[in-house]
Amino acid sequence: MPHIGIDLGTTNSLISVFENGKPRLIKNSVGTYLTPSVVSVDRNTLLTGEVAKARLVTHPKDTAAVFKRTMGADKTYMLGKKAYNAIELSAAILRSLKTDAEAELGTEIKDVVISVPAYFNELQRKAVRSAAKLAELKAVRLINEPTAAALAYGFQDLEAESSFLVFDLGGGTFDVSIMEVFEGVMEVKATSGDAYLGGEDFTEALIKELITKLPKEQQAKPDLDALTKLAEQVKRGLTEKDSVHINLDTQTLKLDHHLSRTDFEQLCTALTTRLRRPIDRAIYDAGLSPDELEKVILVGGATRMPLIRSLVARQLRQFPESHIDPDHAVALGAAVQAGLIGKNEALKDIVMTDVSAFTLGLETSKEVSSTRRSGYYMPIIERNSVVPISREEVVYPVHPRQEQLTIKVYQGEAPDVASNIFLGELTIDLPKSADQTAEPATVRFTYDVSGLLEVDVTTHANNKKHSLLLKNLAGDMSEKEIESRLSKLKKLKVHPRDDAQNLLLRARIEQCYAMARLDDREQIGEMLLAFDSVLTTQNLSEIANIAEQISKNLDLFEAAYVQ
Amino acid sequence: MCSDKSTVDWPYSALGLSEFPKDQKEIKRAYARKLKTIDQSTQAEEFQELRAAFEAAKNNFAYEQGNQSDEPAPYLEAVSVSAPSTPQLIEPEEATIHGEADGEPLQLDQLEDERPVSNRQFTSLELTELEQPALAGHPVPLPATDDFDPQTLYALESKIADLSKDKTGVTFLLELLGSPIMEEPEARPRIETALYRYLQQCLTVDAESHPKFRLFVSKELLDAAELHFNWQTDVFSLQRKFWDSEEFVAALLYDTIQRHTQAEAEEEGYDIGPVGRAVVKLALGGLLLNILNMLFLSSFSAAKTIDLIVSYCTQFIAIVTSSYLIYRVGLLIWEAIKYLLKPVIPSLKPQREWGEILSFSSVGLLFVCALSLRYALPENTELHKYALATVFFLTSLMIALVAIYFIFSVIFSLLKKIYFTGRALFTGR
Repeated sequence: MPHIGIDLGTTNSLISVFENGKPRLIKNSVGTYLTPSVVSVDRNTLLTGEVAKARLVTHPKDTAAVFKRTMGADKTYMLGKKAYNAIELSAAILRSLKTDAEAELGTEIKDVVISVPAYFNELQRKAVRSAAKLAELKAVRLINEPTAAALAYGFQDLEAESSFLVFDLGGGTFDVSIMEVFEGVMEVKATSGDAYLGGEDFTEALIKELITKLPKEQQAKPDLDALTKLAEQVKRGLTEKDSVHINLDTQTLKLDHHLSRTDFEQLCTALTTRLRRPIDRAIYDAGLSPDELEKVILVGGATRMPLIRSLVARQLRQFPESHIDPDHAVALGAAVQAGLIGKNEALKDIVMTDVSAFTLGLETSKEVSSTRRSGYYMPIIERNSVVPISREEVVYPVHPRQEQLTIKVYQGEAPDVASNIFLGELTIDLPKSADQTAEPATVRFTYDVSGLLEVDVTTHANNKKHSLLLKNLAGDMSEKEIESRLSKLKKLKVHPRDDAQNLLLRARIEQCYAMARLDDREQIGEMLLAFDSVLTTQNLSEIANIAEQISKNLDLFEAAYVQ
Repeated sequence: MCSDKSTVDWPYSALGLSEFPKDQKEIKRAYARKLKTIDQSTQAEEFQELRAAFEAAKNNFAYEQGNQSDEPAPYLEAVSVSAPSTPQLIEPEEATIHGEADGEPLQLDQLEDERPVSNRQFTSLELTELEQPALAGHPVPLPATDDFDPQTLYALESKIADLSKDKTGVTFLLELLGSPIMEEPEARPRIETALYRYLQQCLTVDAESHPKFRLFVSKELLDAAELHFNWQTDVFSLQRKFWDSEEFVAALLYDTIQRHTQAEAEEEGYDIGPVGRAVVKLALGGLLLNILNMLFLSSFSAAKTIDLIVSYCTQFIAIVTSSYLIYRVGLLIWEAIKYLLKPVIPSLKPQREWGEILSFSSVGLLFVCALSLRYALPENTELHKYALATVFFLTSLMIALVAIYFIFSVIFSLLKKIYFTGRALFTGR
């Protein structure tokens, strides 16, 4: 059984395998490591990855992206005529990754390690598990993304004793982790982050700015899909150059604008402020001072932005490193974890310990000058405790004649439960003791290595044990539900792998066609015609020839409008 | 030595160490050795024990070390740092030389060794700059902070401390939180402390002695502080940083908890129960018929029939109501009896408190019961008269109770006011 790790990202997903003593990434059907987390439906065919991404511009109504952000929430996306939720869409991505890996390794894949943002809560983690089930995979472990990235780095340099900080700014989430390596032990000391902050927010800020630069009549109803594509290119351009010039003139977009790095930094000040606090918090929780960190490591595609690099350098007084491709680190680390779980020979002498990213607790009430107020939070497992962990606390009934006890479980750091995330509740009958007063109960929280929570309540009077199953909306699915969704997904055909390259090129031509101006557009239209006619001949060498030519032309075209 | 017990007294043995370890490394090595024999996903309990032993050993070792040696590391840090007048010496380039064990900057350090530790305020500030040698391999200098003078920060701190506790002070703080100085890693923790101390002095209590901020502390300021320091969403850091934060946290929560409590109170409301609802519907029917009766006047023959129906209806409603109310009164009496009999028969379990049985609402219940009985019973009977007498008696009782309650509450609130004024006079809050 191969040891497989999957990085299910907001913008891109990757799959990797641990073999011959080290992790290795697996290419997808179009020959790249990164598979965009985009799903599209073309009539009855399911398209994922690069092809689907190209269709974001041409067929926005049949395509969904950035759905990881709504994992565990009740949002659905309409693709064509049918609605899908984030779990199903993630399952489609997982399935395509699985097929890629199976084609490469030649064996069936079942057990995998999937990475999740450290700040994913209980519901979101369960949603990821459900998605794996839908893709006919078994998520034997969920690993925190910054931990996985740290593992990829820590694994490279096991001999040295060191502490380092991993700054992981992905497409949709932001995590900070501090890891210490000694004697073959990789110990995560602290994790913090922001579940709703990522590279996509920077793109969003850019889009907002670009909209204000559009002519009045276009501002009212901007073409968001095209703008998103444009903003991404501008963002990438600003990573390489000090300033970019945008010159576009299509039916929906008419822009002639100059944007420098400083302008972009100013647009993002609100976002960069939010980046600082989690760093302070992680260092504080780890009980270190910034100068005790030997290395600072950048992970996640968004850390390519120079403004992020300078922020980190300034905050931590160190130049950050990223000698593993920031997009690859998480997937590689997930494969290392898979190897650890699978007891790979090469990893015999290595152990990893992780921490819980957030505090878990109950709602309690407090007496404030004779009035009782509820809504206070009582933490049971504090954040950054080493997992697996089990803690218990005795709770007392408010009223001596109380008959029932409601345990409400929350996750978060705020002192009032209303600002924390509600995970579930359990109501138990409170048996009475001999003298007719209600007895207390013991609440035990058990937090396992995958970050899944179990709550047991034992009443003192009769020693009866109750377990809380956190069943909630979209997060968890019953076996039956999974089966019905599975059959729904199976009705969709999956495009054959061999044809993926051509399909991608065709989608790309269409996308450029949509972006192009009058004269260019005509040319691109001709390219499409030529390509289609060659495709029908099924002459492989001829197809390859024309494909190369066309993609060269498209490269030139795309480079032309963002200078 | 046996390693299967006594983990509490001697944490080192749980780690497999038979003697006191020479250094931290030895503890870590022992922990690592033991950890590799445990499968975390299946042996959670063993892992937790090992982990506890490791933490205990580390703490114990640090404690013992502190007792043994007189060479305190923090002292050195504090010394090399107590030079607010020489920030330019520690510019990146020079720091690099320092890291490569060049003699000159080292001498500087030794010079400063002799200085007394006078001002620990600067600890966090230059400490970080001194540590830059760790980066000796990098050719490019770090982002410079020369534009940032420690004196400015010190002046700022004392300015915040002396700010007036009113709207102008708050406006200044708001501006400060929006200014670029907040991007300085050194400045942030110190501004946080200064702001905390300032707000600590703006605390007051409401009528129920729940702590809250004084009115001029605007929501904008608290929101800005939240953006930078996460006080409201990360209360544990706050509590760890400031030992005296209990009232402060309660004040931060004042609005949310208040809203929460109110919403809950509104939700409860008063429920008259299914019987009550049925009775109300019937009574409404009677009322409707009565109105019809008045419209049709007595000259019509139909009026008589309606009159009859109305009187039957009234009787019927009264009977239903009174029987239900008698049942409720009976329940109350049964509860009271339970209490009285409890010493004799311990298996009786009263469901209500005495306070609930002997309450104003019980008197009200009796009153409504007597009233409905008066209508339910046929006229000219003894019971009918008694019911009427009871109604009058209960009415006067209720009025008396209300009057007494009103007088007492007025007196009580007056006393409370006097108490708070007195307290404010003495404590100066």
